[in-house]
Amino acid sequence: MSKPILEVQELCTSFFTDEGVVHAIDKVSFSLEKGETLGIVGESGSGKTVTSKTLMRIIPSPPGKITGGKVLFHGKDLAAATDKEMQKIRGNKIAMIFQEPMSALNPVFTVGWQIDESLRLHQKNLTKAQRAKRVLEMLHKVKIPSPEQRVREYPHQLSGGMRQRVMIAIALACNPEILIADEPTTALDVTIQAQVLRLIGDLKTELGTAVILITHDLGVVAEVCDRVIVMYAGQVVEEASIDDIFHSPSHPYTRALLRSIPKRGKRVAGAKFETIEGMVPDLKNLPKGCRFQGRCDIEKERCRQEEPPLVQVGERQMSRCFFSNEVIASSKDES
Amino acid sequence: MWPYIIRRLLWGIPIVLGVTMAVFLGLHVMKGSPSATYVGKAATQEALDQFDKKYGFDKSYPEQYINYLKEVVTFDFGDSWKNGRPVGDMISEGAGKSVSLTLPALFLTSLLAICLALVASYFRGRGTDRTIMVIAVLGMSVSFLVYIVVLQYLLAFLLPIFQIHGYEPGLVERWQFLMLPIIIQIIVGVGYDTRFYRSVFVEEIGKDHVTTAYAKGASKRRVMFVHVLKNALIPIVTRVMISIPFLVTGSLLLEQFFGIPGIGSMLLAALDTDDFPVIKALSVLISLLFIVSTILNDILYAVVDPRVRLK
Amino acid sequence: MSEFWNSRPVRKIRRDKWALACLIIIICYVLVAIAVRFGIIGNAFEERIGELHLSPSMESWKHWLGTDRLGRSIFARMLYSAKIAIGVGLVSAVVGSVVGGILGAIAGYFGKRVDDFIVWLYSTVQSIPYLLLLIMLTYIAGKGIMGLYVAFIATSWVGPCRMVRGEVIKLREAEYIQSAKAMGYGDWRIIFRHVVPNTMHIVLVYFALLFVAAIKSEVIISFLGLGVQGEPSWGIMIKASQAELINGFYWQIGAATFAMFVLVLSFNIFADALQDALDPKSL
Repeated sequence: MSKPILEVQELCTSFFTDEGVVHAIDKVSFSLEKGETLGIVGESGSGKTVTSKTLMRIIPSPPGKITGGKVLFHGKDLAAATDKEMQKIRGNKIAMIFQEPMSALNPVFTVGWQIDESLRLHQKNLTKAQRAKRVLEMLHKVKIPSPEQRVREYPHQLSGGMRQRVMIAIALACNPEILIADEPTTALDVTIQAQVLRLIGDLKTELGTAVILITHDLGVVAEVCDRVIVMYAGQVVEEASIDDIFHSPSHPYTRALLRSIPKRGKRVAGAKFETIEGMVPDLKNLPKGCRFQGRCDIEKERCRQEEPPLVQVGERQMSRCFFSNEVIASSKDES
Repeated sequence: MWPYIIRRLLWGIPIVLGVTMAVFLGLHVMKGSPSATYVGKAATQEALDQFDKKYGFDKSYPEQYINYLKEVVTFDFGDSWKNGRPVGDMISEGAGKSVSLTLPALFLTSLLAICLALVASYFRGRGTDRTIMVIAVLGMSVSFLVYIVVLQYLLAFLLPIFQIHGYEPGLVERWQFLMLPIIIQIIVGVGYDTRFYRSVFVEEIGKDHVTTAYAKGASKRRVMFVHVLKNALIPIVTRVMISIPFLVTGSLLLEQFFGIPGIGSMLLAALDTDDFPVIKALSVLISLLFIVSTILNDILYAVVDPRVRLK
Repeated sequence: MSEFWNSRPVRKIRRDKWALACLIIIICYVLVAIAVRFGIIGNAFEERIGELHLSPSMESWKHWLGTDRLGRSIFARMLYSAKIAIGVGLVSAVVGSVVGGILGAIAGYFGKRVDDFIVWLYSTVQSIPYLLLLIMLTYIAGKGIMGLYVAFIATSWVGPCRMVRGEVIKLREAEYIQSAKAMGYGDWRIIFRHVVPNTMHIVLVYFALLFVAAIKSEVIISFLGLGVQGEPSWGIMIKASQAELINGFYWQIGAATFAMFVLVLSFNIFADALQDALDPKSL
C-alpha cells in the first residue's frame, strides 16, 4: 500500500447559528491515494458537501468553523494552514468542481478569462501568450467544440453540460493532484451526466489526478469509484471497496441505500418500491446512541444506549454498526 | 439592442403623460386659478376675469390641458408671473448652482459609501463591520434638519470655518459657500448608501461563483475587488443613476438654508407665490429627468451585464 | 395564538433583545400619543409657564426641559409633537401597506391590463421625487395636518405595491396557487386566502419603513412651513430653535432632536430585525 497523499483524521466542522450549534461533520476520517477515485455517498444533510468544503477550507466563516481534527496533505496539516498557504494549494494542488454549473461560473467574465485566472494565480512564470495557449488546450481537453470562439463567450451563452466542462477545465488547468467533484452531474440531463463522468474519468487517467467524488447516486459510484465512504448525519458509517459495498455492505444504512435502487427484472406484482423510512436526525439535537436509530431495520436496545464506533470489519472495510457481521451475512444471502 | 432602447423610450411616453396629468389636476383643477394672489384680494371681478383670460383659465379643462401639453412638448413654459422672466432662463441658471452643490455630494457619498461597504462586508460579522453599521444606523436616525441646523451653527457660526449663508456665481468663489452643504449632504446620505451597498456585497459574496473563485485559490481581497465588485456594478450603477433626479431637488433644504439660489430655492419660492409657470415647468422637467435617467440606467445596465446585452 | 408566538419569525424577534427593547420604546411613544390625543398630558403646549428661555429645571414637570421664546414648556411641546409624529406615521403605514399590498397583489395576480394600469400609476408617482411630490401635494391640498395626510396617503402605497407585485408574479406560478385554481376557487378567494398571506413578510417590513419615513418627512415639511399649523411638531420646534441656538439656548433643539432620534432609531433597528426574522432566505 503506497503512502496516501491525503489523510483526513477525525475532522469536525460545526456551524454556530442563532438557533444553536450544528455539528455538520463529526470525526470524519479517511485517506486518499495517488490516482485513486474515492466516492463519498450520503443523503442531503449527511455532511458530504461540508466535508469537501472543509478540506478546501472554503466553509463560510462565521458561522462555520473547524472544531477539530487534521487534514494531512503530503504530511502538512491543511486544517491549521494559514490563508496564504491555502491560497497556494486551492486550485493548484487541490481543485474543486461544484454541483450547479449554472451559478458556479461568474456571469460577468468570459469563459477564457475564468480559466486564465487559475493560471494567473498559480503559474506565475507563464507569459500571457503561453497562458492563452493553455486555455485553448484546456478547452480542447474537456471537448468543448470550437474553443477559439467559446473562449470569448460568457457563461450564460453555454449549456449546463458545457459550463460543467468549463468548470472542469478551470479545475484541471494547473494539473492538481486532487480533484474534488461535488455532485458534478446532479444538475445535468442524464445523457450529459454520462459524458461528463466519462470526461472526468478519462482526464483522471491521463493526468494521474486523484478524485473525490461526492454524490448521492450509487449508480455513479459503481461506474467510476475505486473505494466508497458512506456518510450519515455527519459521520462516516461505512468505508469499503467498490466490490464490498455492492456485494457485502456492513451497515444497515448502506444496505437500505442499495435496496432503494430500483432493479430491473425484479419487479413483482404488488411489491413496494423500497424507501428508507423516517428522517435524518436533527444535527442540533442528536439522539443518544446510534444516529441511525429509528430508521434501522435491525435496531436493538443497545443501539439506543451506546454510540457504535467505526471498526474494521474486513480487509479494507470499516463499519459503524454493532451488528455489522449480521448485516454482511444477510447481504451475502441477498445477492 | 436598439429594439430594447426604443421599447424603453416608448415606455416613457405614458409616464410623462401621467405626470403632466397629475400636475394639471393638482394645479388647474384642484387648486384653481391663483388670480386672487396676483390681482389682489380687493380686485374687481372684471380684473380677475381678465387674469384668467390672459392665462387661459377661462377655457375648458381639456383645452387647458392641451395647452399645457404644448408647453411641455415645445419646452416653452412662458414667463414667471412673479418676476416676468422666461422660466427657461431661470431654470438653466438655477440648475448649474444646484448641480454644483449636489454632483460632488453624490460622487463623494457614493465613493465613501462603497468603500465603507466593502470594508464592512470584507469583515462581515466582526467588530469593524458592526461598528460601521451601528454608526450608519445612528447617523440615519438623526433628522436632516438637525444636521443642517447644528453643523451650520458649529462650523459656520461658532467656528467660522465655512460661510454661513449666501452664494457667489464665480467658478472658484462658489465653493466657499458650497463646501458645508456638500459635507452635510454626504453625512446625511452616507449611512443609507453604506447599508445598501453592504447588502449588495453580502448578497454577492453568498453566490456560488464566489465559492468557485475561492476554490481557485483567489485571495479574499481579489475575490472582493475583482469578482464581487464587478458583479455589484449593476446595483451600484442603478443606485447612482436613480439618484440623478435628486441632484436637482435633493438639495431643496440645503439651498433654502444656505441661501443658494438653485432649483430647490426657486421651487419653494414659486410654491409660496403661486407662480404656476415655474411650478409646472419644474415638476415636469424633474420627472422627465427621472424618466431619462431610468432609461439610461437600463441601457448602462445592458452595457455592464453581458446577460442583458445579448438578449 | 400559541402557533403565532412559536412561529419562527416571532421566536427570532423574541430572542433579539435589541429588537424587543425598540418595540417597547415604540409602544411607549404610541402610549404618549394616545395620552395626548385624549388630553391627559401635553395639552398645555400654548400655556405660558414662566420667563422666556428658562433653562431646564426641576421646578415642575413642565420645566424639565425649560421654556421657549414665548415662555412655553418645551417638555409639553415635545410630548405633544409625538402625537403628530405617531399620527402621520400610523396613517401612512396603515394606508400604504394595506392599499399598496392589495393593489400589488391584484396587479401581480391578474397581470395584463390591470397590471399595466397599476404599474403605470406607480411609475408616474415614482417619477416625481418623493420630497417634491410631498411638498406639491401639501401645497395643493392646503397647508396643515390634512394636507400632510393627503400627501402621505398618495405616496406611501408605491413601495409595498411594487414589491408585492414582484413577489406575486413569482407566487402566481407556485404549485399551491395553480392547484387552488385547478380546484375552481374564485380569484378573490385565492388572492386573499393564498396570495396575500404569502406576501406578509414584505408588507410588514414596509409598514415599519413607511412609519419612519412619514415621521421624518413630517418634520421636514412642517419645518418648511407647509405642514402642521398652530400646533407644535418636532420640525416646528427645530425651526424655532434655529434662532435660539445663536444665543446659546440649545434645549429646544436638544429636546426635539432627542425625542425624534430615539423613535426613529428604534424603528430603524426594529425594521432591520423584522426584515431579518421574516426573510425566508435566512432559514
